[in-house]
Amino acid sequence: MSNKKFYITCGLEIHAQTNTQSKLFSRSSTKYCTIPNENVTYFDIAVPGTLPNLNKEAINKAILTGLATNCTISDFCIFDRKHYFYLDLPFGFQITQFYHPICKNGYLIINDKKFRINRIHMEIDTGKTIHEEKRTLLDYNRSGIPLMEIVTEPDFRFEVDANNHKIFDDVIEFVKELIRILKYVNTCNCNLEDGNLRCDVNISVSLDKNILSEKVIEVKNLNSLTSIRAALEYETKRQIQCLEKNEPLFKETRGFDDQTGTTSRLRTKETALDYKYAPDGNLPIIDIARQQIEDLRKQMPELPYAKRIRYNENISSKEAIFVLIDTKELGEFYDKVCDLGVDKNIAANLITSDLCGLSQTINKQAYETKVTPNFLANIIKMFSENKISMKTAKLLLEDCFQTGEDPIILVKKKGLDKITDLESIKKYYSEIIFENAKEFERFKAGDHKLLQFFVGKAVQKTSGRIDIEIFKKLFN
Amino acid sequence: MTEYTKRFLEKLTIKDWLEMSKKPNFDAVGILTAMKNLAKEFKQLNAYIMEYYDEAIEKVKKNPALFPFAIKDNFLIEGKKTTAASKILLNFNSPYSGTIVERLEKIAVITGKTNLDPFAMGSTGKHSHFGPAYSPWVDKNGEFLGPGGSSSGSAVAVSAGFALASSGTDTGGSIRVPASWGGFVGFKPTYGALSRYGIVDFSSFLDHPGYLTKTVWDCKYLFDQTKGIDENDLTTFDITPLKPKKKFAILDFSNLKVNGQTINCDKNLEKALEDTKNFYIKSGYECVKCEIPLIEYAAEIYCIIAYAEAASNLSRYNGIFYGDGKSYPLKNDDIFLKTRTDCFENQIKRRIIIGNYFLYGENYYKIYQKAMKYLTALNQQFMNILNNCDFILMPATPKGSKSMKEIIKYMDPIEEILMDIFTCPANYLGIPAITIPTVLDINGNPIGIQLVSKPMGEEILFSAGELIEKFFNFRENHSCYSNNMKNMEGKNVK
Repeated sequence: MSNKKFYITCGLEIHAQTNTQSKLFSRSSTKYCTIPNENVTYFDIAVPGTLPNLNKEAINKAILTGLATNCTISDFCIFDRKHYFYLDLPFGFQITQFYHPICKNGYLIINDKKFRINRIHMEIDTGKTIHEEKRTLLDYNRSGIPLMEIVTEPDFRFEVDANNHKIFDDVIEFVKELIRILKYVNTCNCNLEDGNLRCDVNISVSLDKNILSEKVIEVKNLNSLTSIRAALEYETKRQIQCLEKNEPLFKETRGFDDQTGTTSRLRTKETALDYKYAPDGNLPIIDIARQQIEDLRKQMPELPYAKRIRYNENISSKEAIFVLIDTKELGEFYDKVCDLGVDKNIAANLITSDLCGLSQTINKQAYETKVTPNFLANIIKMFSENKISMKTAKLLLEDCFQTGEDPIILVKKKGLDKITDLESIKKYYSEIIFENAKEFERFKAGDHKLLQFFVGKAVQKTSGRIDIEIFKKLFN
Repeated sequence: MTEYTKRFLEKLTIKDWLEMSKKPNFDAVGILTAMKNLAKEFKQLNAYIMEYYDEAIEKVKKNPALFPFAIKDNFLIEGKKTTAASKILLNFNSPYSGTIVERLEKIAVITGKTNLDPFAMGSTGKHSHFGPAYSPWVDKNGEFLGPGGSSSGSAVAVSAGFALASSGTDTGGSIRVPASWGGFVGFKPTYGALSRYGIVDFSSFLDHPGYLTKTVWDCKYLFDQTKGIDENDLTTFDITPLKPKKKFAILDFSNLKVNGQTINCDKNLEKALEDTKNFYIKSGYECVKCEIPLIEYAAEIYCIIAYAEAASNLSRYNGIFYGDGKSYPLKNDDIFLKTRTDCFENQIKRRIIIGNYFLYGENYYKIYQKAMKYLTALNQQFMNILNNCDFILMPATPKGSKSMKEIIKYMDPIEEILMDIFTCPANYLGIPAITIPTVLDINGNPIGIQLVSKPMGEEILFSAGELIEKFFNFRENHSCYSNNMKNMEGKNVK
């Protein structure tokens, strides 16, 4: 094995299903349906004489996606036809946007690096083909569902040597952030199991850092983060092997097999089809007013990138920030709690460490439980005012989660106030050193580690209510 | 059937029918039955692919105000077959009715689906899977003339009197050419004035539904009853009629050369154009002469756009949903290749191959985009004239028809395309146009003239058209049946 260095260049084409009620050009439902050919109308199967309608919601959602990824939005919306013959393509062409994508020149910032988006365009999804031994089944439920195709520049560059292939974190992070953004602006449901999001990767390997290889290989239809990574790793290994053995690489399209973790050729690009792109004569050119774009921009929520910067100022735990950003509603819940004037760090901690875990047990989201922002704020305030200990706070949280009662009332009911008066603490102190005389002897003799042991006993005895600092001072 | 009855049916209009239906003792069933018998007697004209006379008679019994109307077989009617005269749609049952059909069924009964060139691609009617349609007009040798196309069957139904009027589609002249050759009115509105929903797609940019009628009054009536926005067709809109200026232009094509040749018009047509010009001037119109040099490229522009769009719109006929129902293997694209090779007529294959060529690779920029640029320039030339006047007077076809036998035997494909040279610009400019019957040409065959106006100029065309229609009075002066009889002296009357 040589110590040669290999330079990988990677680009992504992500197909995201727009989550509108009906299809892009017909009124059929887009709801995921297991009965084949249930959501199909005449236009979806190209009955002669049928003409497209236009789903304006789909256009607005494409614009929103563009705004959320820093793209410029086109002045008009125009559709083209991409012609080829296939079983799942009733018209013999796919309505897409080849010449004038609706969004251009965007970017995402991942790990302080900028990854550019070349274009976002709208197109329709195809039907599904299921090949069996003696027959082929065609299901057109998916045919006509609006897609947003997000195409990146080949900005994902990695340096690899023959032994280490495991890189690609930026690619996965990019896809994760894109999923986050699509959910924030509610333009795609991003349920990968339902096929809401599919990814094609373009990858090429070069021996020279500054020269991009022409042999760009495309791997299509990756529908999970693990298969994206696995396909990239396999392709890297395969292409490096070819280069090492001086075997030829072909510009081609490959498919990925989840079972075997390998890619195989679907068709070569060298003899690629000419798609004969031409404008669709049944769809008028639609003007996109600048006002329309501004109205949509005002509707956008704060995006993950901005939220991250804001949270970094007040939350120390990177993990907590990650969890709060990952779901828009959770971050909004957190913000509501903070708006009530509580310690931001503590709020973050209680939500992500405790409330999230609790809500999972009843299969709900942390912002959907009986713990309202007000209740949580009350708990945090009581802790900050030294009325309860952190342990009590966590117990209160659980209680409130189960019963839905205001923590302030719970504290009174269960007498969970923090014990801070010296007299009571001294009493406990006396009890504990009496009950644990042996350990106290050892402590006095110099084994200061036992302080934690006594603290533990005090916490046990008082159900966490005792002020630990005052208690500890008694041992000095 | 007597000569008198044939002429009666030939000349009967929608206006006549509506007036008669208001009076008591109107024998709607009798007249409709006579039409059915006339169609049977002249079955060899091959006007219909499917006849619905019996059904129509039942409907008319209940409501005699419904007038008999024929529909070109590229309009879908729910529950009925629509073949578009091609083998590939032989067994296609329409699951829905198009918008124009729905609007028409409120005022008319449908006598049948008429013959056409397959997918409306052609100017003669000879390419139909069901064999050509023949005009009821005969030439000096007693041979039936070519009716013109692609609305060939619709043309025959109107000129022979099998229905009071018919629907057609006009993509390059497919209504106006048959109207000129058949001695009746052919009309194409502004693009988007009539809905295309439910019409088999040929060229989305160029297809216009329209009407073939015996009079301008009938044409205006049909248009008013069926126009207007259709939510199923995004390219439709509501017309706001224009105020006439009482000014027109006459096209001077003496300097026009197409394919290196000047356009030779029939002598009688030239005189008819001159007479028309003088008549309008006498009626108080101001006249200007105009030249439109870019008409030289009119047919080429048409071919490039129409054939490219045809190739695109016919991609759906791939054997999965539409085809002859034969079972082909799915692998290696066999089903696509075999179905389309087997079922498409040569005319269609020719156009698809050429159309694909125009969209292939660099040709999209070198040829297709270039055609669009010429289109824009030609539009400029037309609009420069139309902005200052109501309409342009020009020929519909340079010459009249000849015998269908001759046309079938040989028609130069270039000559076939050039027949549309005066009609096709109105299609890609989307402007309204009407053919009015005038006189017989030097061979004794009908020939009409054309008025072309600007977008939303339908009312202008109807009023100016009615004037000249009255002036020539073709309908009173000529009959295909007397012509028939006259030229067939000594031969067996068919």
